[in-house]
Amino acid sequence: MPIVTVRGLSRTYTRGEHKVHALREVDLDIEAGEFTALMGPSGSGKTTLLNLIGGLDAPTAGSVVVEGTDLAQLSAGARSDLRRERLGFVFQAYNLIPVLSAAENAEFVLALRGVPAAERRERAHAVLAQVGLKGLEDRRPGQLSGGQQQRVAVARALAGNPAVILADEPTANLDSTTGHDLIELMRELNTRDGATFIFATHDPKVLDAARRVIRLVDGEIDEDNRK
Amino acid sequence: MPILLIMAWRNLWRHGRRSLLTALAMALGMAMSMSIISMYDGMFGIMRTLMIDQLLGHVQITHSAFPTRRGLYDTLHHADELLSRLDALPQSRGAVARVHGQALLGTEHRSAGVRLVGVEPSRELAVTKVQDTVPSSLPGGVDPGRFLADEPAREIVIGYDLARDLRVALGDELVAITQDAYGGIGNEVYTIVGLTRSGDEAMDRAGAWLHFSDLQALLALDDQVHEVRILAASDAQDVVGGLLDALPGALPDGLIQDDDATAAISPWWDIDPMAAQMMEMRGIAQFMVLVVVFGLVALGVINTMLMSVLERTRELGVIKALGLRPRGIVWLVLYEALLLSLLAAGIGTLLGAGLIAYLMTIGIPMDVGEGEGIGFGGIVFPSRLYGGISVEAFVEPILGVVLSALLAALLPALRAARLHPVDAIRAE
Repeated sequence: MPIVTVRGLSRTYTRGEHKVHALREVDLDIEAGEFTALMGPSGSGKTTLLNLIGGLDAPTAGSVVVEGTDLAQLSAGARSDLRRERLGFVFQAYNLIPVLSAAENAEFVLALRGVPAAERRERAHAVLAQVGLKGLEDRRPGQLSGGQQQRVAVARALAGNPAVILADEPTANLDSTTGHDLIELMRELNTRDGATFIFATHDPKVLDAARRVIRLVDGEIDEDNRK
Repeated sequence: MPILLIMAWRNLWRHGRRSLLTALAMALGMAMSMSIISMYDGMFGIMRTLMIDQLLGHVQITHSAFPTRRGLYDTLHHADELLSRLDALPQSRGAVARVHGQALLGTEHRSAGVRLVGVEPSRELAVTKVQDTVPSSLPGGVDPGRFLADEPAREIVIGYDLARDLRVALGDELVAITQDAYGGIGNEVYTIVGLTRSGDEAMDRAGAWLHFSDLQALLALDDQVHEVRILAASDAQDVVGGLLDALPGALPDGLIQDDDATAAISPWWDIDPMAAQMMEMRGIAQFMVLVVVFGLVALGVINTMLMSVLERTRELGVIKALGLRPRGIVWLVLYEALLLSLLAAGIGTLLGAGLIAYLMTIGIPMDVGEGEGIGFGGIVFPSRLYGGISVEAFVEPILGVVLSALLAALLPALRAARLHPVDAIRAE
């Protein structure tokens, strides 16, 4: 069974008098362990699709089913619970919590889940080591470089062992080398630990690394290639 | 410690100066309300002592016609037996009997109509402390003398203002002329031994104290009295209520010897409804002060918390996206307000305690001339008012600052909880 099932998914925004069809009747299955890139020009609907899969936005029509749960059936609170328990997010602008240290950011989702402090601290140190930030656990985001911050964000997404990690343009704010390293890291986590990734990206380096590339044009799936 | 509490604490220090300034403003509001409550404690303490201990007692027992008619013949008999029964009541702190009369009091040059009150000094000392109406000093170095001796010795204590009107001093003799119980003329000469300045305007301007045996003799009342007043073990409503319930059973036979009269048992709030209203005003006045002060505090907190939430729109969106429920977001903001208010409460308690200490030791001068303070409702306050201290002077402002901060933060908190994560994360 696919880990994410999308059927007839549409999202229409109303901008003043205009209706913008960000997504039109998209059907999509994501299997566990896939490393999928959503590509396409700006406004093609990549971020909208990612937000809908993550339950951050509600569709105009159609359904998103994550691990057998139809998101439309969930209350706002239950969607929060699903995100916390089953999903990981990496945002374009890192979006770490500035008052928390790298380790505290990494363990944030576990803290929300109520995992005991010692256990989550241990896990945070482990994932920070995994993303190559050993020794920087106590630094605040302001004391880290952009690449380091995005690694903390990846660590935060990984720490809770989510079913799916959703990453929106994770390399957009990083220089080319740092971006490359980050992709290598995520690819490694995918092959070694079987973590499922879905990216929205323009970055050719990400596209090279992806094993499945879905091309969106005007809110519709134009191409869907598995390598 | 919960991670939300840690975040709230650190968020507070992201704009440390702003948080400290807000906390300081809250603390000042708190210290101000603490000092006002302290002054109320002081002023209403004086009013209470004067009204309950000296003027009214908690409960008065009289002939049923005495409260309205104040007749010479509206008397109680067997007062000694009544007093000893009252002494035995657990709700009672003590009781005294008094005789009341009117007389023309004067020297050969001047005279005035005066209210005479007959008391038993040794009993009064233990209950009403009427002796305190003779102050330790008077303006211009005038010697106030002392209160009446325990045994009747044709002594008289008169109001300081009355003494000035009559142009008499300690040691002078005064003649009292009145109608006695038999319809004859009662008259006697008394020696002035003391001058009162009690704060009770009526007695200070036109009142005099005699030993009750002396007054009974002047009025030819034998051993009858007009009033027995009782002080309850405490001011608490249930103690005074318990006393009122117990009194009817404590009245001896033959207390009232008129066939068409009964004994009247009157609590102080029935005897002087205006005094009762004045004492009740305290609660209202104090509440108004707290509402105004903490209303202003709340406005400051709303401002600070709204700014804090607006600045962190994106961050709050991320936290929401990561799976914190809307209720959790509300708590995050409320924790921040709670910590801010606790910080303010700490500073405010120190400031307020300092102000209260100042008010209790140094006080506020309120001299309106000749060593007299302001007059209000028949009470003349001392020329320097001191603050009091009470648990509520601390508890109410602390609760006020914490509750108003939480209430004020509720609006920004709900606003934060309603943020749409996608829009919030996009916001700059």
